[in-house]
Amino acid sequence: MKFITRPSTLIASVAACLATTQILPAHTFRERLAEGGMLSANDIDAAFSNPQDLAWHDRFSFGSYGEAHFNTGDVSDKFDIHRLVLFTAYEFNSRFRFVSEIELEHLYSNDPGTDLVWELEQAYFELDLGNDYHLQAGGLLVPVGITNEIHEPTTFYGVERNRIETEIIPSTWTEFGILLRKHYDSGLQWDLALHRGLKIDENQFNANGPDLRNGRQKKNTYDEMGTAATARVRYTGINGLELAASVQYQDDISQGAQDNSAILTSAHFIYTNGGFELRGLVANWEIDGDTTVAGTVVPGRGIDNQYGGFIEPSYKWGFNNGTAVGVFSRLLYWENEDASDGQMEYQAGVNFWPTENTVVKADWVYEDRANGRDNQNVFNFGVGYAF
Amino acid sequence: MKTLTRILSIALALSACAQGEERVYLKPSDFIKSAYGGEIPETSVLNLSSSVKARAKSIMAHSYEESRVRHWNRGNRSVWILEEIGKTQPITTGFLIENGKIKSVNILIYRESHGWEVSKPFFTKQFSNATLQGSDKLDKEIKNIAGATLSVRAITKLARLALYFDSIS
Repeated sequence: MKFITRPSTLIASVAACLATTQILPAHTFRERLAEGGMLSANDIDAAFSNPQDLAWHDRFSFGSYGEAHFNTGDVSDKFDIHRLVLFTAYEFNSRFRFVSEIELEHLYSNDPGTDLVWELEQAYFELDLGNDYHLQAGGLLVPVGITNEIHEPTTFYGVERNRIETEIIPSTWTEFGILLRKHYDSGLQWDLALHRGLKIDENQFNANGPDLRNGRQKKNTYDEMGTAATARVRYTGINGLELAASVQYQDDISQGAQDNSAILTSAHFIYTNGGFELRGLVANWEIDGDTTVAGTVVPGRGIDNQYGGFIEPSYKWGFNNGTAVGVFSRLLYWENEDASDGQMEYQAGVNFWPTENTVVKADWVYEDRANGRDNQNVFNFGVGYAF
Repeated sequence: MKTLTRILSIALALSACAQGEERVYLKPSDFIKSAYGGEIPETSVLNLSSSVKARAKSIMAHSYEESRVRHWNRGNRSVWILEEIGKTQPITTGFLIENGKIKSVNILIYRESHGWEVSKPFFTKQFSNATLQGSDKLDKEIKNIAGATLSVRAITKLARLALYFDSIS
C-alpha cells in the first residue's frame, strides 16, 4: 500500500482535474422548464441535462444521522448520545465527487468510562468511470456485511447494532485504500478493494483472543499500514431479495513480531415480502500463526477461529405520510473468546417511525453469556434520525 | 505497486477531466419517441392550482415547487418526465401512462452515487400496470432495496405524482 503513504500523485491528479473544470453560464434545473408548444429533441434533452455551472454552494450537499440510547436491566443504567454524524459531499462535476462523514460519538453519557470520540467515518473521492463502473479512493467503508455500509438508525431494528456486526465484523469499519465497483443490468454487483488492514498489537491478543474490534486503526495510530484486499459480490436482481458474500485477506493482522495472516468470509441475505422481512448473516475469521501475550509466544490458543451469525424476522405496518410501526426478533450466536462455547443472544422489540426519517425504538435482550459470566436481561430504549 | 499507482493516477486524472457528463441511461427525447412511434408530440403544460399543489405536496411529503409541469399527450397516452432527489441529487425519471395505468418507467438520468439498482429494469418493471387508489397510493407493492431506500422512495413518489397529474390533465 505504498501509494497510500505517498499520495502526491493522486493529489496532483485531482488538482489537475479541478483546475480544468468547465464554468458555463448560470441556470439551474428548476429554471429550465420550457413553455408548451413544439420542442426539438435537443431542446428537451437540454432542459433535463445536468447543469455544469452550479454555484459552488449548490455543489455541496449535507446530511446527518444520529441516535441516543438508554440501557437498563441487569446492567448499570446508562444514557448515551451515542453518535451524531455529519455527511457532506461536493460535486466537482457530474462524474467526480468528494464524500465525507464525520462522527461524534458519546457526545453526552452518564457513564464516566465513556469518552467523547471524534472519528472520520468516510472521506473519499469517487469517480464514475462509466454509467455502471466506479472508482473510490480515500477513507472507505469496507464492503462486508449489512451494517458496515448501511447503518442509519432508521434502517435497522434494535436500539444497538447487532453483536455479530460489532464483535466479528467490527462495524463501523473504515480503512484507507481504493475500491472498484461494477454493477450490471442483471442486478449483480462486484466490489474489489485494496486497503490498509487491522492492527492488533500484543496487548490486544489477550486471554480472550485477538480483539478484532480494537484492531481498527482509529484516531492517530496510523503507524502501520498493512495490506488487505476485500472482494464482494452482491445480487439484487430479484425484487425483495438481496444476496451478498465477501472475502477478505490480510497479510498480518498483528503487524508485529508474529506472523498472523487472516481471512474473513461473510455472507448475508435480506428477503422482503410486503411488511415481512427476514435477514440473516454469517461471518468467520480464520487467523493463522501463534500469538504473543506479554512477550511470550503462546501457540494454539483456540482463538484462531472467530465466527458468528444471526437471523432476524420482522414485520412492518406502514401508514400515511411515512408513519410506520414494526416488530422484530433476533437470534444471535458467536464465538470469539478462548475456551468458550460461544454466546447466544435473544432479542425482541419494536420500532416506531413517526416519519420516514425518524425512529423510536425499544427492545429486550437476553444474553446467554460464556465463560461463567452471569446471564442477563437488558432493556434498551432509543431515538434516532437520518436525513 | 508503483506501476499500479501510476495507472490509477493517470486514469483518475484523465477520466475526471474528460468525462464531466452525467449518467444518461436514456435521453428524455428518446423516451418520448419510444412512446409515440418515433415522433415527439407537441409539448403540453399542466398549470398547477393551489389545491393541486397541496395534493402534490401530500404525495411528495414536501412542498412541490413547480407551477407548470410539461408533458406529452396523444390519444390515451401521456408521457411525464419528473425529477426528485434521492439522497443528494435529482433523479430524472420518465413515465408512460395509458388509460390511467403506468405502462412503463425508465430512469433517464441517474446522478446519485448510491442506489443504482433503481435504474435497472428489474426494479422499474414493478411499476407496470400500477394505478392510483385511495389516499394517492399505488395499488401494488414496490419492494424496497436495502441501501437504495431513498432512491426507491423517490421513484415511488414520482410514480404516484405522474398518475395524479395524468388524472387531472
